Amino acid sequence: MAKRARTAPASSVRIRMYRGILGDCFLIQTSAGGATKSILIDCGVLQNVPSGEKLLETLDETVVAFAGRDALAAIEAGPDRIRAVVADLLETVGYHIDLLVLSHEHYDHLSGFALMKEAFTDPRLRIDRLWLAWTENPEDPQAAALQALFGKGRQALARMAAATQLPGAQADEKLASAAALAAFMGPQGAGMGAAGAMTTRATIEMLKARMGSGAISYLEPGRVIDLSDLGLRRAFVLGPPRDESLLRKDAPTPGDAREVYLTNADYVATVDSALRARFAAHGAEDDGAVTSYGDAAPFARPHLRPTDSVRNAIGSSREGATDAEPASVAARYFDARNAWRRIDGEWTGAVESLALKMDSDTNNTSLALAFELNDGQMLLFPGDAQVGNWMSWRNRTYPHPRDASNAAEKPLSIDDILRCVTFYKVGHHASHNATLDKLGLEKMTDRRLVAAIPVVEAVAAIQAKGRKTPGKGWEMPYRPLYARLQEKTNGRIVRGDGVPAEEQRAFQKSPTDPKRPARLAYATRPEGLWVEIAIPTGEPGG
Amino acid sequence: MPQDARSPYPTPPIRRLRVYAFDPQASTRLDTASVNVATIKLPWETAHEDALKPGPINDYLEVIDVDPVSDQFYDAVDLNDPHLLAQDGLAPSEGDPRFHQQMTFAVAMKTIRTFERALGRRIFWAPTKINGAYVETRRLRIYPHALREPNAYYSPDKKALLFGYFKASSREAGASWVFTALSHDIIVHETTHAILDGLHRRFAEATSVDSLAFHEAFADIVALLSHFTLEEAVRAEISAKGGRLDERSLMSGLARQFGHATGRHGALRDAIDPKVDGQPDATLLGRLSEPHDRGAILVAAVFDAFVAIYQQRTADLLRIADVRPDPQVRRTLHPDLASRLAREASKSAAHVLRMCIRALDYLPPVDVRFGEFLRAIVTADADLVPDDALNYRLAMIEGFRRRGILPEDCLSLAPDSLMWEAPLDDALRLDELTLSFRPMARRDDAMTFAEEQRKAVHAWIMKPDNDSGDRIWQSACGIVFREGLVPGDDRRTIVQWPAPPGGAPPQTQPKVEIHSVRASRRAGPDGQELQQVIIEVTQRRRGFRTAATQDAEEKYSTAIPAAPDFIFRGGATLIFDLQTRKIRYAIRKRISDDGRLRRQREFFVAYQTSSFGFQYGLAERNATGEIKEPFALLHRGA
Repeated sequence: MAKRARTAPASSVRIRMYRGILGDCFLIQTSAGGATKSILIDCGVLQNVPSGEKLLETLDETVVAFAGRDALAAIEAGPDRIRAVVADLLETVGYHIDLLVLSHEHYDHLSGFALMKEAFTDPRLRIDRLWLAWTENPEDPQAAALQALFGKGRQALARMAAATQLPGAQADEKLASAAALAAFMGPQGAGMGAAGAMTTRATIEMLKARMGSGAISYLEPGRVIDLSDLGLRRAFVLGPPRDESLLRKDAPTPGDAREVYLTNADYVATVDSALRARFAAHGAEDDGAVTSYGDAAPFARPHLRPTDSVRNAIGSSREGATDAEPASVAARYFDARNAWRRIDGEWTGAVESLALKMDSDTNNTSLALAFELNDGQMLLFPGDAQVGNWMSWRNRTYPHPRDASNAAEKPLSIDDILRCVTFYKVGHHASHNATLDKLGLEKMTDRRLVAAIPVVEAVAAIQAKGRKTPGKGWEMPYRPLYARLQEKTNGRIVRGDGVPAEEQRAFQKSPTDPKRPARLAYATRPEGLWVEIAIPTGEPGG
Repeated sequence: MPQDARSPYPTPPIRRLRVYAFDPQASTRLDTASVNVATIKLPWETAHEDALKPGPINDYLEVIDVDPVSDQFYDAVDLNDPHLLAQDGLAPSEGDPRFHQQMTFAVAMKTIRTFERALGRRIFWAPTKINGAYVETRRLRIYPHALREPNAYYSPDKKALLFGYFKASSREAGASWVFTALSHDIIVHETTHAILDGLHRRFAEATSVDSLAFHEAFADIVALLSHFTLEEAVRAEISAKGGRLDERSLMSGLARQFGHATGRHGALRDAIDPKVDGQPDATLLGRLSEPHDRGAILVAAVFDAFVAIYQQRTADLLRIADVRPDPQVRRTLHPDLASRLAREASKSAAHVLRMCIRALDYLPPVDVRFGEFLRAIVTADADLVPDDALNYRLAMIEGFRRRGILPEDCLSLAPDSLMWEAPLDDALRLDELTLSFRPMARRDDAMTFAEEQRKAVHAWIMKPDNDSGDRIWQSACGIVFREGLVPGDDRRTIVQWPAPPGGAPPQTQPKVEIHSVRASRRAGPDGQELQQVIIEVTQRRRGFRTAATQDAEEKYSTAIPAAPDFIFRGGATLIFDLQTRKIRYAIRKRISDDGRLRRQREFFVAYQTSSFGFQYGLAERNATGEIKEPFALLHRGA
């Protein structure tokens, strides 16, 4: 078990972020009436992270140089790391989680539960309450429709991931980019994936199954929940929104413009049709789905001419290219001098778009919460909420619970809440599209603000096209956002791949409060497994 | 040499090809099926042109029917096969890919010919940058089955039209597979993008909220007005609507099947905008910024002008026939009257389309605005048709005015104040430049010749003269020829020729680009001929995300210039009269205009970076920062 380096002040809330993973695992602990209370928010790591040694072997030298050789070498394989995380976590909470929060159905937030299934199904582990977003409620018709659509999208993307294994497909950048995003979806299949891996859906079902029915809450935006039994004051449910237009909004629309986007279902069907055709063309097995003749090509058999046979018929007569124009249409297309005009991979743009859209839509179903401490400070956990989710927070106020003492108080607006945020869990590993600027971060004006970014920059940098081309991977953290976070927090940022000494120096150099500053602590065994921020709470107020 | 040169028989004047007048959906409906097959007449290849090859491939186009998703390479249609020559090409059919090739080819060629006739010269495709040098693009490629998705686009990188097909989820589409390559409107729209890119390749750059919208709008205008060249369909429509064209109908809607198949319950876009008390919303333009939406307002303005012109041309006919333009009373028209009205509608549409196409020569070379398009229309038309007896220009102005599209810096909306000002200086002449504009029979020769002319003009315009003479040219062109000539014009951020190697002092010679040199001959309705040469000259300036960086870069320094965040361009379209060799117009966008640079920066920051002030990301780009296809029919994404 990891030993705590320093004991935190008695009247404080401790927020622990597990490090070294491209994924979220946060533990909030309080001391209420002498007992320690624990809230666990997510537990996961991106599925396809191998160990540093393996990465160094498989990656191009320029890519390694870009991501940083030392940073890559230090990476522990994702599944190994998450096992260590879960072991430490369960020890720390003493096999008793008072409240478990699952933000959204992405592998980098859930895989820990699946990989350590035995531990989480063990009856000795007590989980008192489980919070999920309304989008997970099977009784809710809107949620059910949404899940059905996501289910189809996931299947299409799983097929796509398989399609990258088809001959010739490895070279396509757009497919690689889509496949990297599919990693957020986790393994696919009915219940158990091919390698015995558990899907994200099955993971949520597994956790729900062990809870009593009364212990699960599907949270609606606008709800305010009393948490005095957990040593906190209240929790505010900010998102996900009910409004589907906001739910699907991942990038902002300028002005009043109405973008001519298709309905989701059409797009999924289109991509699915293209992928089925790929399998049909290669005569490949397509995990049980029958590829009917009609999917293969839009024309009847007499018109069909497989590309390979057409190409072979031209032969190698074009090897010594002369200035003469190629005779046939096919020879023109395959003429090496005109290779830049070929369109072999253009269709994959649609697949990439779907992968992006699916990823954003799922992020937008994030359960976004603000926890209020007894002195009015707020801890903001937005999950991976994107623009639409953030925007929806403004559409309502947050009433005080209807008890006698608070009846006279005015309802809170989101700006009132953001003004009191002193801890911000940066959404989506600090990507470019998951922190609202003017109506989000800029509204967090409390001088005590600290930020936690669950990120390993080197791992993000070698995803998608970054696997082959330096600088083309995911930019996490996104530099302009990171720079602004530095300014807003006076440098008080902890990162999943941060250097503990530097982070501690920043916290000492500009303390959150000269008298009672927030303090950092790090795991000593295993070294750097987690970082813990102890936030002192004052007298009730705010 | 074309094969038929050896034939003992006379060359046929035209080649007839059957196409869908609208799209396959129209053939499944009782009211439209009878008018949905149109025959396009293309001039037979002349002795100077290559013979038409299977594909089809000719001097302008090469149709390559590869279907990468299905892994198929469909056989190419041979339009010279006697069986096809005898029956005007293949009959319209969704199930035969060779008909798809025929239709994309025929409709694209018809569009090309429309432009050539209006412009009075041949059109060329935009050149392609290969290894840093611009190379001519001889043929535009057409891929009728490039994608399996509800989309189609002109790819400026590949110089190709890519058409998609998809399985429709909506029954309204009337088919299980929907092919964008079978939609007349979509083919015209995408071909127009390609032609416009060839004429003004800087228009594809997003420099303002109008720039990409103009591309979209122009492509829609050409597609819409092309509907009215289909006489059968026009007659049927006019009969059905009692002589009126100002209501939404088959004629005013674009890409109907595509619209139905993608869940719109109607056309993809409609040229007739909603009106309140007969007036469109003049404030809408200020509130929209998506290119297709904004473009729709420009389309509505032009369509409005077309309807007004049609009404004016047919008022007497309707009076003679005693048909009152009352929307409540809809009479059945006499078939002869319907035919006459249809002919007038075709003429009006052709006229409006020509006005719009000719205006392309009168636009600034960079950063075009809707208001400038209006000025270009008015000026181009006034040059060719000095006496506007039928008030076509007024009709156009009225259509724009009602939608709040107003040019900047104009005294009033009177036609004469909308015309571009003519520079008064007599020194602006082509005298020393010997340009010969003999017509070139072969397209390849014409292309080579145009390139030679371009180089000749560049050498001529760059040759230093005395300072006072050069100052006049610098002022007319809106760019900087050499530093110190007009100190107020000099900017450190104007892109310079690279310093010569070997530690020599850096040259301060700003780069000047001659985009194109085009000669055009046009004949007016009264037989007058207009011979002009049009020269586009431009210059680049480094633009930066923040005003502070910009200011720092403007200060003199010997350091290596910083890489820009965006490119700011200036320059002018110079129009000379070939008979007098005097300049007629200099349509400028000054490179030293710091206000325009500031506006472009604001647009750039809003559009590219924080997306109108919401977040820290790049919205118009995909996850890895690539810009998406700018001319997609729909933006990808669900």
